Amino acid sequence: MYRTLLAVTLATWSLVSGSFAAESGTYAPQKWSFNGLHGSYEKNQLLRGYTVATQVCLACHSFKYISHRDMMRAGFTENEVATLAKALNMTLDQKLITAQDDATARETFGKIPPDLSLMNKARGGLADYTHALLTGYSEDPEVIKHALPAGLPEGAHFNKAFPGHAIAMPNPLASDDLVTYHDGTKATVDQMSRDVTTFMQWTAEPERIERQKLGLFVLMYLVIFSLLAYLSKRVIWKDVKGH
Amino acid sequence: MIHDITPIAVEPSITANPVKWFDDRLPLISMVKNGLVVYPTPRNLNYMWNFGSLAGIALVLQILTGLFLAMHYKPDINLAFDSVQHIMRDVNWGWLIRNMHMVGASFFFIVVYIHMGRGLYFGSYKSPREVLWGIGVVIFLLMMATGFLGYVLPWGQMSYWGATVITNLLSVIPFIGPDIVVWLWGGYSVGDPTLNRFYTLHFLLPFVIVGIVMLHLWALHQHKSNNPLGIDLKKESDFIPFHPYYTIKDIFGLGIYLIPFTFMVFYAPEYLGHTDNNIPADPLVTPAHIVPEWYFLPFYAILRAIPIKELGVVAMFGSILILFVLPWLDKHPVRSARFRPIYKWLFWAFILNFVLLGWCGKMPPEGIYVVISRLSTAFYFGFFAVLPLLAKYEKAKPIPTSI
Amino acid sequence: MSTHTPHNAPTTADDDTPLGDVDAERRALIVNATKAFGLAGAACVALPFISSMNPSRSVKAMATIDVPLSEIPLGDAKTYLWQGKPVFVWHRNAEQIAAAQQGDATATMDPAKDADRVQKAEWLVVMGVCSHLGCVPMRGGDHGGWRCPCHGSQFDDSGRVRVGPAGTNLEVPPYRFLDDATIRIG
Repeated sequence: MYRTLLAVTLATWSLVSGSFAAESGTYAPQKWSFNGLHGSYEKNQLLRGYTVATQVCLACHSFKYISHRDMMRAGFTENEVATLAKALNMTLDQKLITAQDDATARETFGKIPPDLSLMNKARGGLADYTHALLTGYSEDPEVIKHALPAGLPEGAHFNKAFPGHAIAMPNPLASDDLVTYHDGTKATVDQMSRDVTTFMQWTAEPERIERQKLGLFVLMYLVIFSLLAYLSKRVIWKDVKGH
Repeated sequence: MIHDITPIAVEPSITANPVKWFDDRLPLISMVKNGLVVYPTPRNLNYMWNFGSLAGIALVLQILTGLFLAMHYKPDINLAFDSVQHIMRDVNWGWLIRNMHMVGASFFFIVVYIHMGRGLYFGSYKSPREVLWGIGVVIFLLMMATGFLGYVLPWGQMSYWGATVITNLLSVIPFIGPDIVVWLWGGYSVGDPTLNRFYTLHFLLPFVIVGIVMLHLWALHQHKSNNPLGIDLKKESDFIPFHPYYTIKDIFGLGIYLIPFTFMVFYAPEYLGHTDNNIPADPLVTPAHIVPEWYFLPFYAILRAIPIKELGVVAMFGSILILFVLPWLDKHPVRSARFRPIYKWLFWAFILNFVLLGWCGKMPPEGIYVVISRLSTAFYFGFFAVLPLLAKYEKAKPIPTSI
Repeated sequence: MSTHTPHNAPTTADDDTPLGDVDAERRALIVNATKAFGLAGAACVALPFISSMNPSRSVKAMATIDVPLSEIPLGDAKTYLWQGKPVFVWHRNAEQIAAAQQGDATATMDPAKDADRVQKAEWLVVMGVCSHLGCVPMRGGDHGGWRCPCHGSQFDDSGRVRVGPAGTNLEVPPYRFLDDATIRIG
């Protein structure tokens, strides 16, 4: 029976993992510092991502669940975040809300730009999707014609990662050096995209690192506990006939 | 009819023996002792029998985590999504409690599916345990209702559209269907009144489940557990007391169960969910693929496999309700599949087919998937149709008379 | 007592060999270790649940308020909400300051110097929570400060208790002057 059970379990697993993986399979998987059991955020990269997020994204998008004080959870000191907040004329507890009002946004883009706090968890492909989208713009007529034979709708922009390829958002990272990084890193389009994606992963899951660190201890505890319980079970069942 | 009214000897002094004094007046301690300590349990149960107690623990964990989430959640369409983010970001350990609740729901279903599969394999639904089985199906139905209601509460896109699609199923009820749907919504679409009542019911139903679990245990204790051989045990030496033998076995099982559970809670909390549910509900935009929670997928596939709407709904509900009559469909005198060579293979085919149905439920309803869904649905019901024939013609292997 | 048992005679009792004892001890050790380890784990699980009921990050973020002093006219007090409780900020004039300082001698219920209760003499900052049972006192009474509507306690120009049932002075919350025109409470 157990062999059959194992076979059924394996078959189930391959079907399940196959169908769940299918959701995220379309975007090139990137290497992210936050992935894996030992994942973490590099403070400099977070700050670079914050720079892009506040100097580029925040022009139209909000991060309505994020305040400067929240960044203390990612390893920033109160003085550091206070300085950052002051530079934006914000208090520590003010959320990062765009200055653009809804009416202007509707007029310019035809829709209100979505909040970015949760974006990395809100699209199939997760962080890989965000990076693919930010680096997926093209103005090459050949590429556009190939993907959209009917042509690009008016006011839309071509993006090879966006479902349907016609996105309302103009290329936010259209050229290198849109921002100046605090640590002298060269602000290429790819670099800015990776940095802001990492920052957005943090805004989506500010608890992630705490979670991953604690999880390891809980798992270790459970393995030891199960082992002890197994020994106890053997000891207690020793006298039962047939065992 | 007059019952035995001979007075029982009772402990007169509360100070001399307070425990016995109390127990003589309300036999609570005796009840626990008879049910969980000295309760005679077959000594040959295998690890498949762990899943009953695991289901109980999963239920308690859901209620506990749910209670603490309820202290921070707000059932209002303008506040619900934000309050969930408040739990995930601001509430101390809120992310842990919510992840436990989310993953816990999935694991509860995994455990219950295995528990049901065990009953199916070893014939635990057969006489004299038909009522025990029937109560179990009621619990399963209530769990599905609770799971569905709970998924609506975060008020994400999948919450909203899942609720819309599932509640609309009731519109197929002749004549009064559309009125029932409006009544259920408390409006003309899923909205604030719907969310509020779904929250109320999601809070209530788990306690109803607890009550019915009590009945489930009562029915179990009436005829004791079935066993892997499926035979009636008569000798006293075939039984061992529940404690310490099965308490420690169940605790060991719990430890093993908690390992993958914990892994999901800490490293992949949203793996079994939908990314769309991280977008606030928007009544103007439907997500590209509406997919229910994974534990509904096999039944969702049956719904979609049938091209006529009304018939699909009937087939979907029928696929669960048919479990109630299983004891009368399969009247083969042998319980355990170990001694039924044909049923054994049919059982595994049924399980594989069930998984396949689940997979179909996740795929878009087009092309080859529709064909597979239909064949798979036919097999699902075919299984139940064949059981009466097997009961008549299947020749069982020789059965041992004792353990 | 005097019966002599041969060294290798079979024992009648359960399995009373020394080896059996060691085994039983070891068994008990394993089972007890499991119990202790399991209970410790269960206790740890309780902690996050208990902690979840404590003030959340968003509540803590609202733990301080800034009060612009320019909006309080000389001689008047204004009430502000801090951590869900009222705080009185009183812009005292010279007369009131003098009364408060004279009270140093007569406030015998809970003696305190006015100078110790203020950072700048013209600004009295006290919790608007009666030290009796938590009602909000109103301006009035016979001692220049406040009178509690619930049970009649009275407080003077320095928020010191003068008439019971309250037994202690109005509490001074933690605050500091950010600049001459603003204080931060909390």
